[in-house]
Amino acid sequence: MRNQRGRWVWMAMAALALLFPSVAFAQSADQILASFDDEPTVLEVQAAALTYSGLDPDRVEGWNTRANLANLLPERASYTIRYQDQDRTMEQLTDDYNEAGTTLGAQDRRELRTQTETRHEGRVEWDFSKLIFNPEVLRVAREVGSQTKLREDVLTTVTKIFYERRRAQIDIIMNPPSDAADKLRKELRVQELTADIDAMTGSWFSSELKAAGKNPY
Amino acid sequence: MLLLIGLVWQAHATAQEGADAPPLSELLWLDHSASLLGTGVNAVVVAPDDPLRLYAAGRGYVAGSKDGGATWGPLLLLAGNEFQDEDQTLIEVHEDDLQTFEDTDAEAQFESLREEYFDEFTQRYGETLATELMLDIEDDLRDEAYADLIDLASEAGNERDYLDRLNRLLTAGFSEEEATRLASDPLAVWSLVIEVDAPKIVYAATGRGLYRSIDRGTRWERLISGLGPDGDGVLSVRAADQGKTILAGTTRGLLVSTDAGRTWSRSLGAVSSEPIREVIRVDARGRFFAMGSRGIFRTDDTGTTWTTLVPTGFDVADATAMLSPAGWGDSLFVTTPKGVHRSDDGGGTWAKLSGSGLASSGLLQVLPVDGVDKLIAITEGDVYASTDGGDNWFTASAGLVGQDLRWIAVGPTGELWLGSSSGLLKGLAGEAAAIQAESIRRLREIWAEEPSIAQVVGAGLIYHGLEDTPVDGWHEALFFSKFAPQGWVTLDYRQRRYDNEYVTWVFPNRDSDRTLDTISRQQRRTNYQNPQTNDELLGPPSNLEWQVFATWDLGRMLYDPASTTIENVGAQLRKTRQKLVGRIVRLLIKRRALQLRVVSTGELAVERHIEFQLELEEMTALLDGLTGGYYSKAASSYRAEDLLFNDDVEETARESLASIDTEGENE
Repeated sequence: MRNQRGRWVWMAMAALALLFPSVAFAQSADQILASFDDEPTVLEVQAAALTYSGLDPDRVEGWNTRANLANLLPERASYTIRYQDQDRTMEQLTDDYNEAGTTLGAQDRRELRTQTETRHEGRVEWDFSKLIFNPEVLRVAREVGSQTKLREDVLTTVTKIFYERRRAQIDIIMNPPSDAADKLRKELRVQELTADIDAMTGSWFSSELKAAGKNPY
Repeated sequence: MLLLIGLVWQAHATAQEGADAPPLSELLWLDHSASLLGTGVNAVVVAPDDPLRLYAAGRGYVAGSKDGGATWGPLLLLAGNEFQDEDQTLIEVHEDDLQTFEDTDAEAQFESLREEYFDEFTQRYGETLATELMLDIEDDLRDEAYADLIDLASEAGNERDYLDRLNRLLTAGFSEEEATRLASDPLAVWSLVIEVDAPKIVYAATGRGLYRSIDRGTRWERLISGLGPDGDGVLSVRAADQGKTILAGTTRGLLVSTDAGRTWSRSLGAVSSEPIREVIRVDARGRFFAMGSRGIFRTDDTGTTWTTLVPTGFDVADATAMLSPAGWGDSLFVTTPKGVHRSDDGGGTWAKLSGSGLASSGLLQVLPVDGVDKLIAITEGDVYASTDGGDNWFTASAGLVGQDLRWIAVGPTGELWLGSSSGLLKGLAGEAAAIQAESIRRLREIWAEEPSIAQVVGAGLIYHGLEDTPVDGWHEALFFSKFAPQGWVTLDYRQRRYDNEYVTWVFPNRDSDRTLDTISRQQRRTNYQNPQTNDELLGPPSNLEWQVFATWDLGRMLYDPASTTIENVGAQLRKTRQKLVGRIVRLLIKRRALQLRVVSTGELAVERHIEFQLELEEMTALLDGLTGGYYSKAASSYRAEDLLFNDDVEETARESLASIDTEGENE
């Protein structure tokens, strides 16, 4: 009896699916896609990949600002301190004689002269032309160009891998493996793509998956 | 207007569409604009040997399709590198133009317009059309800044030659209005031609000269240059003998080549200085006719000598087009604002077609569709059709809203193509076409809510720090920096201290012991001088000296190596920008093409649905990556199922068809 009722339910569902295919399929597609909601989003993965590869555009902005501010500071600044200590000793011996040539006495005079000098020398240099035109902006601009190319490569690659992985995941759901070998092959493919994303994000991706309670490998 | 709209139809659907001529009485025009075509189509031509191979041209471009209008790609871009090199002008997107809609005055303008007109529109046209009108206004406002920018850049680049061109055209005999129109747009493509005896050769008559491709549009060469004071803007072109003989109607007369474009000679006589607006070839006798502003001319010896025809019944100066349709023998048609005139004797005598229902003025073109009975004609605003050889006409303008019509073409199997100010339209008939048209209309509504291409490109450039390549600013700063010195300041501070000690031993007699007791000690400290010796002053106890130096490198005034570096860096950045912009635009077009594929597909199986959804997400994610997340924040229709329009699209489409029938009955 229970089996018969079950058969009716399945037949009714099949009929509904035939009558309203878009509704039935759309719901199913939504459910499948929703099963990955707890995984990092593609935007988060892109951001992680950019940060890991050091291609975050904010860094370039920082370079520009620092390059402009740098010329407000002196191009060169020097400070010298000199200390000079000079001792000079002078000795003067004076003998007193009488008319007979007898020595009456003597005076020994010694002078000790000490000079100390402390000298502070400071020198600051500006290249005022750099306040008007800073050649560093050219270097930064050139770097912006090359970083843009690299960033585009990283973004394209990580996005493609992300969706290749998502397609592989959906393939497991939509076309369940027929045997152990097939299952292993499909799971390995997902793991391989996970590892690719990990390589581009410094293992951030798998750590996020672990935090969400999923086993990445 | 929308700069680029990507349209992709499934190839099989298109093939089915293009198979037969649609019944003229049920004609419905469906937008087939794609990519550059959205900027307007001046000319359309279908390859005579392949109905699926189409060419369309508008301002600055020739585009081609190999699949009956399903997909389009640019074949010739007149505003490409060549243009930039010659005119030293670059059309660049600047930060000011990249603000989002919400940040600009456009939003305020739109809101005030909405308040002012929406109710009025709703009462007059109904809510659906009112909404559509408001969306169009919004779209225009949104892209206003970008359009202005392109206009400014074009003006800047062309100003130098503008007066030259204008003077030449005025001297050549054009009216001021027409001369201004022609002179202001050197990028315009005025005509596209493929001759039946050489279907692989495509000619493009443009303001920049005559271009030819001998491999169906893959590679192009310029046969006549329209640049410089001696240049000839080409208005019309025809060829014979498999491309060996070419006649080009230019702004300064008619040029003829009999060696496939290697050498050119200027035709003498009446056509020598006349601007030639139209050149046609009458196949039966190999004759050519040319139409200028002062007359119609005929040559029987490939342009060596010309006979001036004097038509009766109309003024040649008013003529808008001249044609000799295939299948109509030697018949020659000339359209004027007052009607169509036909000559069956090589221009000797003329008769006005007396079709009822045809527009009494403003006719641009008349073409046979199928044999001699079915005819189609256009004015700027309407399409007219006749199924009885032109005796009776009816309007066939369903689907045309607000665009200026410019060109109509009939393919070898009777399919109809219409070039207009808003793009390319295809003439279709039946319910399926109506449903498709309604779906497209809704999709365009979705696109109207999405950020414009200029905005997305702008967001991408800002995100990558490429919104500005201030080469001119760098050069300016470098120039002024040469006057600024290298300078330094020195400070010298000295602190001194003198300690002098004097010790004197006094010995009462020579032999007495020198003991300490006898010592008298003097110790003086002074900062300035030795009081005993009155030595020279050695300096104050402290002093501060400072000096300022400035030096100039006078050699920099003549040559500064940084100037070449600026050029190099500028070129590199422009290249990077161009690549980035190209990538973003391609992605946007692909994304829109995918949306269209979803719309065209209709019902989706679950696998296909997921496939579409993932593809859509992937493209959105790539756009997000390139714009720092701007795109998904601003774009709608993220979900594939939002594009299915299953609710009432068929009903609305049927209503449209019913309204066409009603209009037909009223006619």
